[in-house]
Amino acid sequence: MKSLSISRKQLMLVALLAPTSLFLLVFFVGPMLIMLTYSFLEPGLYGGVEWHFYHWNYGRVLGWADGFYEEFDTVYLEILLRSVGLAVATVLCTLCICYPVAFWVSTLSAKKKALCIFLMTLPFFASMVVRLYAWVLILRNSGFANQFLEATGLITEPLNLMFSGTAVIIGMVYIFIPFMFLPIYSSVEKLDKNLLQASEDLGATPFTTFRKVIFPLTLPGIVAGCILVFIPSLGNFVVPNILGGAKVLMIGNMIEQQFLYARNWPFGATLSMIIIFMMMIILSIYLYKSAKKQAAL
Amino acid sequence: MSGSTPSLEYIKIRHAHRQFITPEGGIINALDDISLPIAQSEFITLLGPSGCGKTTLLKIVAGFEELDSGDILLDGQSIIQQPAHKRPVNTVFQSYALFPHMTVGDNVGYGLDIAKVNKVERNQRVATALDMVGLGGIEQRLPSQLSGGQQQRVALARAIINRPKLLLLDEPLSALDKNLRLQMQLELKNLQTELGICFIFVTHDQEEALTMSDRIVVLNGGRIEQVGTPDEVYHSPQTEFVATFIGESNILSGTVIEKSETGIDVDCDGVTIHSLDTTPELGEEVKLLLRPEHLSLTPNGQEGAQAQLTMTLNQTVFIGSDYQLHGALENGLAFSALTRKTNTPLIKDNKVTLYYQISALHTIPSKKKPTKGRI
Repeated sequence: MKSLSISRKQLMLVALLAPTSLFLLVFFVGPMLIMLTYSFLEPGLYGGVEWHFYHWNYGRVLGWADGFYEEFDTVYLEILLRSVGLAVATVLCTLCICYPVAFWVSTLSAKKKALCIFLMTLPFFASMVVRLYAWVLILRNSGFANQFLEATGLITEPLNLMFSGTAVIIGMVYIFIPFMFLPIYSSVEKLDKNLLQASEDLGATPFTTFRKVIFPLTLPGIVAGCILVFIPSLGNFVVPNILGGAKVLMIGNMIEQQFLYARNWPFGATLSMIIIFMMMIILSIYLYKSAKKQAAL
Repeated sequence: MSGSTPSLEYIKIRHAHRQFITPEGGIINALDDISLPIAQSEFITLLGPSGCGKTTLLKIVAGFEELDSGDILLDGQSIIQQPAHKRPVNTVFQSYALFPHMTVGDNVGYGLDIAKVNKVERNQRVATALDMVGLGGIEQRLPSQLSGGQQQRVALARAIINRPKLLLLDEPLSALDKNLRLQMQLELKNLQTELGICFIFVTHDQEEALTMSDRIVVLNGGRIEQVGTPDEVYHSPQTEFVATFIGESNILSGTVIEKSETGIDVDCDGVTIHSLDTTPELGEEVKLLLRPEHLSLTPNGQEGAQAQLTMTLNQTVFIGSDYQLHGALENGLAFSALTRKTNTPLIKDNKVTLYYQISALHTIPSKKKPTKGRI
């Protein structure tokens, strides 16, 4: 009787999970495996692939391309490093903006808190491309930012804000702020305010309280926010496309170009694999650390 | 009660005022002219219902809230200008407020780490403090691995390790179950005697206050109703509020209709009560307190005069050692008694006779002069 009920339970579980699992297998794991396979195949001369093992795709990213056709060139490595740099800058900027704001929001009344959370999610209601074009209007030479700066007399010549790393970072910070804010806010909200009083009561200055109590207790939120921002920033190609122009090429743009314009699918697949690999390393470290912390509690 | 040795006025709260503005725009007097001297090694309890200002007063002493006006002196020095982290005062919080990411040892040693006490002495003192609260050797555990009672003790160890001049306890026992609470009450009292420092204990639980305190400060609506030893507060309440808030009570209000050298007769809506108190004048309104436990179903007085009252029973509650009888007097006044069971049948709507010693009656002073905070 008991074993029957367990098997029925298991059957139920399978029935509930099957559709999702099947969907993910066919439309997520499948394409990933195709990409992985492609990254080890030789590109055909006119697009398409030659079906034999070819490791120079990976060599090319690191600079050593197939010596027969190409010379040593670190351009892809530079693009990769620049992408990482821009993603890190985005993470740092969003963190600096969201951390203090999260503390401020957590002091508001319940009604105002709900309003703030709603405002944070409001941008999701409009298309990202439309919102980024709004930034073009702000940042271009005759845009609002330059008009304002000229009107206040701070500058005489318009600044070249568009098509620069700065513009890309501004755009990405703007897009990814909610991803940083929400996890940080949830950890700040969970922080027991009595702990701060307890720390102060035991002789800690506000700075020491921050260092020894507030920061360690909000760290999980900070880490989660950083990961949530870093991963999509690294592979982002829409923001550099619109705000970076041809000058600021990120790895996301490279992948897009390899697939759509250069028609070099194996190389595009290789670049994608490298990003996926980097993210998997970061996520594994994160999961390992949080699992260890869970075990300790 | 009055003493002139300086240690009896180790802490002086002088004319403390604090107002809060409600969201609706009203003004609440959280503290309304509180003045209170506290002795150097005294266990003093602030007792009152929620909203009486007891927690506000504690937070002001700790430094988490500010006074609108008034002053607090500790050992002759005003402390109200000092930030909380500089005051030689430590607090045990109601929610314990243990740092969840630190081990018990790091929690207890937190104050010492901040004071940069060297490692050897620090570990020694952490071990001693944990021993004092009966939790030796659990330094490596995390607060989440402890029971509520253990967390309470860790919070206590953490608060006493800095050797404060004054320990504040904000309803620290309210989250514990009853047996543990009773045990902790005794331990707290012992700890206080051992440390010889002043404990200011906040509670709304009158039993807790009576058990532990050297003195009880009864607060209501931001004012001090009465300051006194547990015995004084229980047996000679100065206001009706104190009489009803502490312990069970029957209040008989009436007018003095007869006065002689030996006492007064008070008419309480048709029931005449004789009291030995001769201070009230003829025709004065008085309130007489009669505790339920002073009533019994049998006349068993060896000393002093006895009197009796007739009550119509409404409800009988068995509480283990005794019976609680609830009912009404002949004049309709709700009345209760706490007594041993006798042969008298305790049936609803039956009339029972309750006996008491006349000397057990206590006259509550009329409300003309509210007691300010003074000893």
